[in-house]
Amino acid sequence: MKIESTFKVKKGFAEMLKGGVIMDVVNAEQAKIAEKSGAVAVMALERIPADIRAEGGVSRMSSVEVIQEVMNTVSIPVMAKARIGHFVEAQILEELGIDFIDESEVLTPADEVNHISKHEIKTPFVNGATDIGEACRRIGEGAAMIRTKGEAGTGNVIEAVRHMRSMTKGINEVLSADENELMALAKNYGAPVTVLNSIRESGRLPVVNFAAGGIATPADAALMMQLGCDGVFVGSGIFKSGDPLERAEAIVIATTNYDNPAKLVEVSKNLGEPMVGINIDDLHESEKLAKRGW
Amino acid sequence: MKTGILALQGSFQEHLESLKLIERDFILIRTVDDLEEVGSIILPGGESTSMIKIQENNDLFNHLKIKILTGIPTLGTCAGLILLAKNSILGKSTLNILDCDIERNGYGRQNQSFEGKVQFNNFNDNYCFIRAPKITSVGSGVKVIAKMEDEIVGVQSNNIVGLTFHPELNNEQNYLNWLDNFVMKGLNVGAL
Repeated sequence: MKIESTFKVKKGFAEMLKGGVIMDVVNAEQAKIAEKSGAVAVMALERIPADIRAEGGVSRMSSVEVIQEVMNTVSIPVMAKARIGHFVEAQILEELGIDFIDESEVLTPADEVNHISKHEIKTPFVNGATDIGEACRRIGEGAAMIRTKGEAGTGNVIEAVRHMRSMTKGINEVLSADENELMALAKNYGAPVTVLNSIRESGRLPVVNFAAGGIATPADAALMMQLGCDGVFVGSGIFKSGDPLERAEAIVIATTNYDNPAKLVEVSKNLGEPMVGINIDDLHESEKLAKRGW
Repeated sequence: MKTGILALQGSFQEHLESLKLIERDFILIRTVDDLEEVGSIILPGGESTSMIKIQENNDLFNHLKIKILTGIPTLGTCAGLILLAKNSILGKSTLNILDCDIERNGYGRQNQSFEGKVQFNNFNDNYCFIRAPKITSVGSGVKVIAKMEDEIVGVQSNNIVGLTFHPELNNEQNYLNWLDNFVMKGLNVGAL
């Protein structure tokens, strides 16, 4: 007797990705480089966040051809992005047999109020979150994995750090609260109280929490791991750098050995140019992707 | 002696929880030095291609293989089994010490991942199969220790056990008892 796609199986799959690096790729060639470098999964998309930022316009789910090309090229899991609230893009990705759907603020949102109800879809979902309330709402909708939003396409880790610190602070608040304070906390956060209860049972978020948004160097990856993330997404940081394979390998090794400074020195050598970064303060409010999501 | 859990990537934290529940000392294996005080080994689930790549950095698998060949109890789950089996991934050989053939992602992609009822040793439970491998044939001297209906989902060869599923995501008492006997006390090692 087999029961497919239970929440335990979705969540369990995310557990298997822990300690790993998930890399954005736009074609089969990049996917091969990512696999060769030791990525645990690739995210197939049409344009990496730095280019979406530069080129503007409406950003949508990747073309079916690109996704299938990547799926046929690598043996590691393949993820793809759907727009926030665009449940039909999610249905298409499910039908394609993608391994994970990222309901992502990097794409232009399709719904300014609602996210996708993720329980009904067989494919597991990862969602971005800036704080504990947002994370709990997404888990309540059925997300099997959470990531920081960071500020994608900037090569600037400051927002990812902000989101992770805020998450940890929220979790500590939930853990130290009196039983009588829990519903008020839930009200404050806009979080389902059932998810807060799971946090109290396990002492952590009930699903895996990765770092994402602005990670560009091995040191950035190790920083996020030391802050308590379970693994790392790297978007523009690899294929916008001078030597993608070298940098990808270095970030993979740094993510495993995040608490070993000697190793971090070793992998930080001879990496070539990192991607050019953007100061968050130089962004107009409307250009901040982390603001998307509700 | 401690139980070493390969901690390059994957579900090593869940295996660590299992060991805590049976009150055993453990060490996370990331470098060759970590193998020194190890008396049994667990290879977790995760992505086998990633683990193979990450260990190249310090030649860990050659040392790990020597350690396992001394006969210490060794358990591999899912990707851990793939690493133990006679196999190659992206043209690179794995540990290559468990005589069985493996088909990676044997059931398909993540949408085909499932929970299934497994007869494991003398108990049964529902376990997660996540982009799981299939054991397509076993060599002589390899014993079948877990089945899902007629399908082989767990094998043992002397001190080495490989499972295609994830008992570490359940950590129920039957499994913990088995783990305590096998990995910690060395019971059933080579004796079955």
